[in-house]
Amino acid sequence: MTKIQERPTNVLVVGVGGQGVILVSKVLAQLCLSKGLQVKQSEIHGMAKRGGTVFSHIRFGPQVWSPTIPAGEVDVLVALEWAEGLRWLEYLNPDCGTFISDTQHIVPPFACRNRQRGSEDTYARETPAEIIKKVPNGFALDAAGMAQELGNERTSNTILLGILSTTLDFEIKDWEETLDLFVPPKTVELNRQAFHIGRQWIENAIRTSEVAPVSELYEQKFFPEEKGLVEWEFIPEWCKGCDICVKMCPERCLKLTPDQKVEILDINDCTGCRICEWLCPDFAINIRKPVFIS
Amino acid sequence: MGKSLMLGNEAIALGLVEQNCRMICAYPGTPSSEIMASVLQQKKRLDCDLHAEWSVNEKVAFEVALGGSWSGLRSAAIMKQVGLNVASDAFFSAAYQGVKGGFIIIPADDPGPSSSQTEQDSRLMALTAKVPVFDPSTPQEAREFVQYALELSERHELPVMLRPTRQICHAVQDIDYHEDFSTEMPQVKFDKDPHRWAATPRDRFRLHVELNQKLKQIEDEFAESPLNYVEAGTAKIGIIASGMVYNVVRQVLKELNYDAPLLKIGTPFPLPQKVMSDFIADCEQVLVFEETDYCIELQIPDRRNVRGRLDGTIPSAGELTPDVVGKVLAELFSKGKVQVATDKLFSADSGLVAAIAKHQSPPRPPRLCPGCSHRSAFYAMKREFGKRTLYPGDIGCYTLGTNLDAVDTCVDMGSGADIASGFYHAHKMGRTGRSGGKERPIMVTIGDSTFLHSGLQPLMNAVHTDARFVLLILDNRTTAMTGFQPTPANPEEANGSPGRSVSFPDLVRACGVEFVRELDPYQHDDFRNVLREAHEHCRSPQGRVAVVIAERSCSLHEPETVENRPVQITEECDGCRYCLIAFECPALVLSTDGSRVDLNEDLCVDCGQCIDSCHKGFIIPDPEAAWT
Ligand code: SF4
Ligand code: SF4
Ligand code: SF4
Ligand code: SF4
Repeated sequence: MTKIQERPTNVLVVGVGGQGVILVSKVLAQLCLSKGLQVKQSEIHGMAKRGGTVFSHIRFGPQVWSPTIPAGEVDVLVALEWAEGLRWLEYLNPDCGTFISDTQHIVPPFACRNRQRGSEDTYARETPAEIIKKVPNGFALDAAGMAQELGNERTSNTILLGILSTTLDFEIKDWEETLDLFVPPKTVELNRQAFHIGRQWIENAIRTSEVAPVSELYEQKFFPEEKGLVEWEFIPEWCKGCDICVKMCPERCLKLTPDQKVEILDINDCTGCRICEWLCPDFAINIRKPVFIS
Repeated sequence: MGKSLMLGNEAIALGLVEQNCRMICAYPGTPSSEIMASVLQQKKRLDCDLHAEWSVNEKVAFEVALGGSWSGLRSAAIMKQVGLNVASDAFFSAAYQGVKGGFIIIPADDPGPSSSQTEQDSRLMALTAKVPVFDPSTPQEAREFVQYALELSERHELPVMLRPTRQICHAVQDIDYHEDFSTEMPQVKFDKDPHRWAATPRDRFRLHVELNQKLKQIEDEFAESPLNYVEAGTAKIGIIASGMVYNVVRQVLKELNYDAPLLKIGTPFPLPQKVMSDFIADCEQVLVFEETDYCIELQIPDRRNVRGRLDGTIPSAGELTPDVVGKVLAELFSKGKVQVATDKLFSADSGLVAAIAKHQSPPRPPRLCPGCSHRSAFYAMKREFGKRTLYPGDIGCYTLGTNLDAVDTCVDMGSGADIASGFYHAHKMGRTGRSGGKERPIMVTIGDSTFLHSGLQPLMNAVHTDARFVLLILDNRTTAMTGFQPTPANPEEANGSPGRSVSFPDLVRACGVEFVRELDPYQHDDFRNVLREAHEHCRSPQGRVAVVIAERSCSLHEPETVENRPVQITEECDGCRYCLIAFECPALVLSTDGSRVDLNEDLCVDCGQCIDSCHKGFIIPDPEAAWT
């Protein structure tokens, strides 16, 4: 339990735009206010809303000056997405901070820009088990999955709010009542349920002194390590210069030469998607690439 | 009366309404946009008679508000900091001419920057224009300063600036709330005085002299003002702070248990020199913390014992976060062998940090929404014109076309078509020159709101100088990026009352453009054909600039306009990820084992647009649903 003390208590909520980061932070801020504490909260608006990184700082206590939390001073870090949690981990208090994270992965397209077969994506490689060992207090759970089971994936933030509630010194009743204020009237019951699912999960986790049930799935690496280039093989005798492959290549890396044959402009642009191979009516193109074992 | 949690921008709006501000004009831009939104809410709630408008651009907003002030009403112009550049012509002149009803300009600064093209400091703009500035440190102060600013403005008949920064606009604080403020309508009357309101250059010299006198008086007033005060301390190093960073400094000093004397400045221009020199004389050394540039520091005549952003002691760019302030103080203290209570604040390499040092989360830039019509337009454009084409872009949601390699340049509002003209003329000359450069297609994209803001003049210029390119107006019928403000092309005004809408095709034709087509970018094949036609027209001997208007509502703002066209990704998908990169719909996600692409049903809006993005035909219409 982080006791409310002289120094402000620092909570950082992070996630991806659209996941409900702001709801979590609003509930907490309102709750602090209703308890007569000074509270400052800072949010990010604008560009970052559209599916980008979103974060919200909440600081409360008898007196709070700055609304931003310095690195290494976060008491509780709540992450609605795994890689976002890792992104902000350096803000966690290394001596006594608590890290609460959903294990769901939302892989941004930037992480898989390299479309060569067998190439690695650049999504976070650390597994929950590895990270939980390193933080002072850590809880990782498949909140998105639990929310889906409950019937609405959008309640995963409320499940995490339930877990957050066990680390702060407020009454359950007050949490519930504040939560009600911020969710659509039709989903009040559902959100209360989600809130308690979160609380229950953590009680079980502590009782069985098991850190977190980490699903097997996340333990494996995403892609095989070996990299391999595509080989683009062309049989000029068979090509009649119909231009189909040139038109259809999504990377636009083919070209018709003046003598009506096809040539590849830059083999590095070719992703080995095989469209040209399939479309060529005369089988003049062969694509060879490393076998992908999944 | 009560307490309620408010965003800084809401607190400013409250300040304006309770101070009886009757004419409020704004152009949206992060971090300022919520001020006007909140003014409109208050107006509705209190049913008060005030004129609030989303103007066509910042210059217009400033001038309309100025007209209000010259008629005797308290008036305000609201924008983001770069918007002040657009309004600066009027801003500089208005300082000379002065105002009647209290006039307040609110440019919201963006240290960081978090969503702007520069980090510029509006206080320095005010310093150049000779306009007094108020620099609040909290949402509550921002609200209170509105009153001081309007009163000062009326006393000296001068425009006055209130300069909040992003951390104030978007900070949430508990605010005392009451509703017992005056709602009396002041007398509205414009008193003719051509030597002032239509001043000639000779009058202007006199007005400049008067302005300087006013500033001198204001400086004296500021020296007595409760907005500038000293918090005593015992240490030898003194600190001067203003704006948001004042709170950061307070927090850091408290945590260090370092008892430095602190001078808080609420009015950085004109700087009360007497207060400054008294404070500096009492300290061995003085540190100036301010955002974003050195406005206070610059005005201190004797800087021998002064350290700050100007001399490099404090980083000269970026936001002053607790981390930055902590580091600056730590370095300074360690040099001066000052003992501080704890060094924990500076332990940059704790065990945890070392453990996760190798970790790097992938960049996660914002993306266009599922079903966004811009994506469809970009995709068609890219498929038709490929990588060699030049794609000047502009500012709005669609700047995110950079993710799709469909936006090559972005300078400022309305710049795209000008850059295109420059590209065209340069490349045309290049062709006859030594390098024998090839003529490359040029496709410019600009949004509806940006086009009306400042895209019209570039278009006229291009027609007149015969620059040949295709201008694609992405008309999604709202200002989406900043939260769906109406544009003059909308049938509704800011307050919801019916307005007259401007027609894009008429506007464009009136500029002399012959090739004008309106079309739904969801019609992939037709859209590509029209783009091709447009390009051919603009490069034909009799051709000119061609304009294509992509007509479709923003899918986030008006989801009901998206036809129901659910899709399925078949078993055969081999995970080549082409659709992820080239189309980038957030609802298309890599499966957990990376072997294929799945549909995230929660995010998908069933627009059916991704079908064109899988060349192998593995994204298909959902066989179980009827497409509309
Ligand atoms: S496999 Fe063929 S179609 Fe695909 S990227 Fe390579 S050259 Fe282009
Ligand atoms: S808000 Fe509208 S215009 Fe902006 S990305 Fe989303 S759908 Fe597109
Ligand atoms: S849907 Fe098509 S483009 Fe997307 S990954 Fe699968 S095969 Fe590739
Ligand atoms: S139908 Fe396709 S393009 Fe449209 S939202 Fe769904 S996944 Fe995205």
